[in-house]
Amino acid sequence: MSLSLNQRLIGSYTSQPTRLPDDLRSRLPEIWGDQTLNLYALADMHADSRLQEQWVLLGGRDLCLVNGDGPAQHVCTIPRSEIASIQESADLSGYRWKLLGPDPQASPLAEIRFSRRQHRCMENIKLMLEAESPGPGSPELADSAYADSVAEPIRNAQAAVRGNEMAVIWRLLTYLKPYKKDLWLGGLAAVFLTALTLVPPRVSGLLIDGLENDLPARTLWIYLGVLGASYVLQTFFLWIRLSRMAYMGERVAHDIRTQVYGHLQTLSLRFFTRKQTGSIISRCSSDTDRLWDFIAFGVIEVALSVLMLAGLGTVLLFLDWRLGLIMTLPVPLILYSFVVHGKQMQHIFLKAFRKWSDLTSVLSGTIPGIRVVKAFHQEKRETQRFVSKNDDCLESFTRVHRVWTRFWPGLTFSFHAITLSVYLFALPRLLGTREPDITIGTFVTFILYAGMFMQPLQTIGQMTRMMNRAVSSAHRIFEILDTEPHIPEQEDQIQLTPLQGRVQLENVHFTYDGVRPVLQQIDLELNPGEMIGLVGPSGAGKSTLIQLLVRFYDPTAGRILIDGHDLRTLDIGSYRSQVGMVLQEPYLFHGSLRDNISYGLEGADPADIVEAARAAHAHEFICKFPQGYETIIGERGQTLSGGERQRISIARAVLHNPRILILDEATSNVDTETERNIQDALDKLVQGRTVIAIAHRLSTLRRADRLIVLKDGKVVESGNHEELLAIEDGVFRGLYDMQQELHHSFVI
Amino acid sequence: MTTPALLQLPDGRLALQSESGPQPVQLCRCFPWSHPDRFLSLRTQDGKELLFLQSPDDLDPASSALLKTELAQSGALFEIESIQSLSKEIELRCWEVTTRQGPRSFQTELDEWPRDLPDGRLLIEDLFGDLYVVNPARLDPASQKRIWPMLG
Repeated sequence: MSLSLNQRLIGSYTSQPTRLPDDLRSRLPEIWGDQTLNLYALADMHADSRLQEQWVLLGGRDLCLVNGDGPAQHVCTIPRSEIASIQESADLSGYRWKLLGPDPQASPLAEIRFSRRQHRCMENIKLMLEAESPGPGSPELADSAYADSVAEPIRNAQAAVRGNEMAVIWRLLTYLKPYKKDLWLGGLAAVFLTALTLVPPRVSGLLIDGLENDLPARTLWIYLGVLGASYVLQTFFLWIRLSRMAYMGERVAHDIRTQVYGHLQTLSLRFFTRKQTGSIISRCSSDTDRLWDFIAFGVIEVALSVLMLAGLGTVLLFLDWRLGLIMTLPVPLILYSFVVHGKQMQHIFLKAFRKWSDLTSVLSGTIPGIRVVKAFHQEKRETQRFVSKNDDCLESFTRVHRVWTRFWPGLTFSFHAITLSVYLFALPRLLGTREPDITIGTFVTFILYAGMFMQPLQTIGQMTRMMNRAVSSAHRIFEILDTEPHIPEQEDQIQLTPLQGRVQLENVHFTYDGVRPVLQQIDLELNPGEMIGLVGPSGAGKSTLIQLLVRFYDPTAGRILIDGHDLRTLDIGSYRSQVGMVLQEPYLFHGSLRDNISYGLEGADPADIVEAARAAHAHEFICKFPQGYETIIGERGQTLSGGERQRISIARAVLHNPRILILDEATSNVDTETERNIQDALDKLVQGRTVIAIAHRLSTLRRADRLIVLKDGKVVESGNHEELLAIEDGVFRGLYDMQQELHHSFVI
Repeated sequence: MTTPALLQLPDGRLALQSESGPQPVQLCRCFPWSHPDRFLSLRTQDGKELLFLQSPDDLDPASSALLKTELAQSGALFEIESIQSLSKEIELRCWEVTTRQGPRSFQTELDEWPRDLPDGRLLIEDLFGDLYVVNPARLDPASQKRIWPMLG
């Protein structure tokens, strides 16, 4: 993530410095000599919990505390070699560190207090101190680590492309380019339509004057004809406008949806772990829908309303400037009332949404847990809770309705009052003793135009809300489109078909955040057809290693070779099609069992599908369904048991016939009987393939040729079952003993 | 059975006196909002409970005083005294506030609502996990108006 974006987020949102202040930086040589600034963080709380600006600076030799409030003030410098440990206490909101020296009887070397906002950044320093590592190695990298740590939660919560609203609108409008013809047709139709709506009042006025002045019948018929023609043309242009704009809006939304979904497929797992699934789905669905609404109707409606208002104002002033002023002068006041009303509605709507959220949280809490509610006989209590929240909702929404139901009639009355004022000013001129300076026809025309004033004003009043919604949706969509795939693909990729299945890891390092190492110095070699088991405590890096092998991520350092070729040079699609995975939580799609087994292999032979299911011990239970392989399983395979889902995923892997097979805790979530069935299926599956298996139950790895034991991201032991057991105090031995103990307790 | 005693180690840590010597402990409030100063669990660094207390007063006066000091230090929260602005941005609600600890700006997710505490205050958790408490009744009228939609 770019440094400037992170710094912008920090500057906009946190009111803390975006980087270590320059004056403090310039004083560093006098504080700690020629050391490089490797990392820094802000300790933003004083011992008495007041907010402060104290910088924690990490160099190659020293750790230094400097106060940044006002002129930089050096607090203390502690040689890193003197820091024996860091005692961290998590408070309700924040942390306290005690830097302890080697002498347990001595006072702490320093005490530091900071809010949770600084925790990740401070953790980086702690990690470097504990690992006795110098840190990233340059002030620029230190800037980057600081900005990334502080900005991350904001970046994850907000669309990263936040920026100028108009720029977003313009970008959105570029999607109209392929539909210029529709835009022109629809736009012109809308302009003609607006112009034509001004015709009937004027012609009606002329008709009335004509009747009063005994104009020839032919002239009156002409007026009537013009009136009729304007109605016909209005209908025609309305049809053109609605159809062109609706089609165009739908096509633009379709294009954006296609582009967003296509781009999503190229993004790495990092993006999907950062964003909630619901949020990604809504970007492809409801957000594009909102854009359709905005493009199809919003833009044109607003533009036309402005045009209509300007047109009406001009015509009214032209017809009779005095009456025209009565109509036009209150317009700014009316627009202002829309703004005030909008703000008021926003305020009370927020309250109503809050109450609504309380109500829905009761629902989402109790409906899935209805068995517990019933088991504890809490139906009455839950009903009362719901009724209470529902009453709150009613009260809030009643307030909302009270406000808008008063505003709109009030506004309508204002219009009536303006119209009445027009009558009051016009009637003396029409009926007075002096020669009337206004005809009845003009007056009627005027009144009819006045009636058209309200609608465009309403549309303009709602413009802000509509714009905000569209910009917000566009932001969320553009964030996806602007996210670059983390796994870059090289040109001239090698297609290895078929793979032999030789896997080599050479000095592989990996970190998710650039600071905390998850894997370090991993050297490993697997021969084609060999099966290895990855063993180790939680957090050892086993699953990360597998993610690197399927190239969900690239190693931070070192390389992975497949059949002697760097994985980064291989065609990712061709490679992954020869790698099979059976995961702890098998994912099944909504669809038939057949579709799920043959996922990714369109047109698979039914006989092969049955054979794969048979190998996975799935054929028997599938045949018990009346619709056999064509049974539709619910979303995520809800209608199947955990073991059945797992066997379908194994059948999928069998059918793909992968050269490299990855088993990630494939039997950890099932009962013993099911595990035995799955294990049989897996035993058939692993034959003749390179297999990397992770399992907590060490018994599942009995077929492995070798076991690799990982701890804290490093390979700490390797060998076969017996060799590893022979290592007294070994990690494997420890895990094995613990499982045996558990097993015995269970038996007892 | 002897009454458990607490002491402060030279490095400032709180420790429980045991037969094998003083053992550093960390304080865990079981009910931080409804009973912030009662029902306390004293645990080792790796999370093993060494002592459970219904009240600090169950200890001798010196130990009780030490525990109360620790309670005060570890229970610090940002206490909002006034709200300068509460605005909505894309996917974020942005708060500009003055807290007892100083001015602060923070953000919450749009669909994150403050939590009602038993004593009538509101608890707000920002994107970073920092906690803010506010007593709406004690705010100035302008701040009260700003926070009104957030009240449950």
